[in-house]
Amino acid sequence: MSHKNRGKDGVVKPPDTTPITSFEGEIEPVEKSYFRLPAIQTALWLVIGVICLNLIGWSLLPRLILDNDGLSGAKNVLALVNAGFFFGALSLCREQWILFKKFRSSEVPPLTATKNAPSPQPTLIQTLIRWSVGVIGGIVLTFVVSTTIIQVNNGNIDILNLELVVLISVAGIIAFTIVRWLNKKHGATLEKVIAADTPLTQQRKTSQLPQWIKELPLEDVNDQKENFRLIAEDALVEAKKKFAEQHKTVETEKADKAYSDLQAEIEFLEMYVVGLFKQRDYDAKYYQTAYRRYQVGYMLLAVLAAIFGSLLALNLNENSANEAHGRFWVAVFGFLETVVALATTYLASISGRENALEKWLENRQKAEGLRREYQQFLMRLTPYDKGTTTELEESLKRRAAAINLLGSPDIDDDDLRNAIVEAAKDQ
Amino acid sequence: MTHEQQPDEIQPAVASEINDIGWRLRNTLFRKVTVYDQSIYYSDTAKRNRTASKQVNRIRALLSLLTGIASALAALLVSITNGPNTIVLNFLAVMAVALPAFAAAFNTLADLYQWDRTTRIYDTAQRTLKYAEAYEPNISDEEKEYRKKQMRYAQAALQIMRDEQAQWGLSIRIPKDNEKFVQEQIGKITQKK
Repeated sequence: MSHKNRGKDGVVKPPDTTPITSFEGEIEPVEKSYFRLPAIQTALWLVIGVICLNLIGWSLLPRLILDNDGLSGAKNVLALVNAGFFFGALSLCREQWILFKKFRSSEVPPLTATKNAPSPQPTLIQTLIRWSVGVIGGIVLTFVVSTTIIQVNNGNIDILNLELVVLISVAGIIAFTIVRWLNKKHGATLEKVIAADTPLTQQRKTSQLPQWIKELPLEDVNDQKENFRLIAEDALVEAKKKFAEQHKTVETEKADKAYSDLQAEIEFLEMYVVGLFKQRDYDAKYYQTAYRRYQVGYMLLAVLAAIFGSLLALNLNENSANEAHGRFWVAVFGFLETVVALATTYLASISGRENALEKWLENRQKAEGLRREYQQFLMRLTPYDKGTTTELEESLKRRAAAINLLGSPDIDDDDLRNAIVEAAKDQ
Repeated sequence: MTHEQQPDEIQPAVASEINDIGWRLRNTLFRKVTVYDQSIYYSDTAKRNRTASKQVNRIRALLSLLTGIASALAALLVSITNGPNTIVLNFLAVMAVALPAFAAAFNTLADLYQWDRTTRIYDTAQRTLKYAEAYEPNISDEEKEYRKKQMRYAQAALQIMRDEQAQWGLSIRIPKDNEKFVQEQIGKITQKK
């Protein structure tokens, strides 16, 4: 029951999880190669970004702003690209700083795990947002810096060769692309460090956004992982290794026999319990996301209602001063208030049909019940502490099915009948 | 349809008899994939929730501060200028209205996620799990003693998880502000009809 498998938030992980720490929980020593490629990458960004910022500031934008001498479209595009570069450099520096802090506090997983970790790809919208923010931020900064430089140079704007700007930009972009490719393949970027250090789940979030934003239900629930297991293969291998270290006197043959028995039993459990768990876990996450989306939707509508209501009240007060103007805005805000009320009613009507909260809690309870049953069986806790193979198998199948149906392993025929009647009523 | 068995394929099966080596191996696995990882899960989640809670509290405080500043600035401008600057005053008025609405939204968000409460739950669960580790059998224990301690250890660990799950379930509730808001809005629509 790895925490990486943990299902409270609908988490499900594939079996090929790379262990992030040693068995005892000590963090393995981190390696300096964490920094090599990312550092070169950042340095390139910095040099290109900062140099280009200044070059652009000195040569292009002032012309646009002060001279208005008819810059071509290509130059404008170049200005935007370079402005974006500057912001990218800032962003990379920030990443390096976080990586450095993690390194200092030994909060980094082993390099091998990091290198093997998948490099998360941003979505198109995320890329567009990042790029827009970069470009806008870069333009603002460029404008401020360039106009300051022009002021310092007594209005002289012809102090740089434009061809040099283009040359440096192109060379920088090529060098950066090569290093970035190498880094993605062999390096330990912060994204990879976070990916290796973050519970591997279907809903993994590795971005560096503030925590409260990461908690928002912005992402859709991913499909179930076909190869999900409650105990990953590598965890089993690791346990075997640890066992061998602790019990050096045990004969290898006997240890191997115990291991293959355990392996076979885990396969059995995966077959009869994990299938049910996966579905419950997925449903829990699905309804959790739905519930939170509804609630966040209400929250946003409440903000709008408060703003429109207050503005309406403000305009009502101003009515006497400027009657026609006031009447117009009163009508507009009144209309918007009605739209908000209608939207709320609509949301309440669709959310009421689904009852996402109840289903979320119910499915989560069942998923966790199945997970405990799995552990109980593996450790032969009551009621699995006695019985023949067949009895144990039957007992597990029955109890798992009961948890899946009603949330409790101990149900009698009456409970079953009632459940069927309730299900029929729901339909 | 017949299924040809591969030499290294594992046939799912349940062992009714488990020997001492088997128990010890299971204990090693249980300790790793249940207790240890669960403990990390608790501490990670508590840490995440604590961070989110801090951030949201900070934002709420900042929004309150800005609301106060906007109101005070509006009052100052009205009193020190001859003719009020309508653009600035309108902007300040909108800020004084919008900022508390956003602050209220963050209140609801905190109520929805219950970060403070769940942090306490996970912190407690993690500490209790550490305590349960005291029951773990020793490698040097004899077979029967080992098994006895192992059962107690596993039961204690699973009980803690069950308790945490129950408490977590109790902490989830629909934010009161949202409930009130929905009722009000539905009421408005009903009246208009």
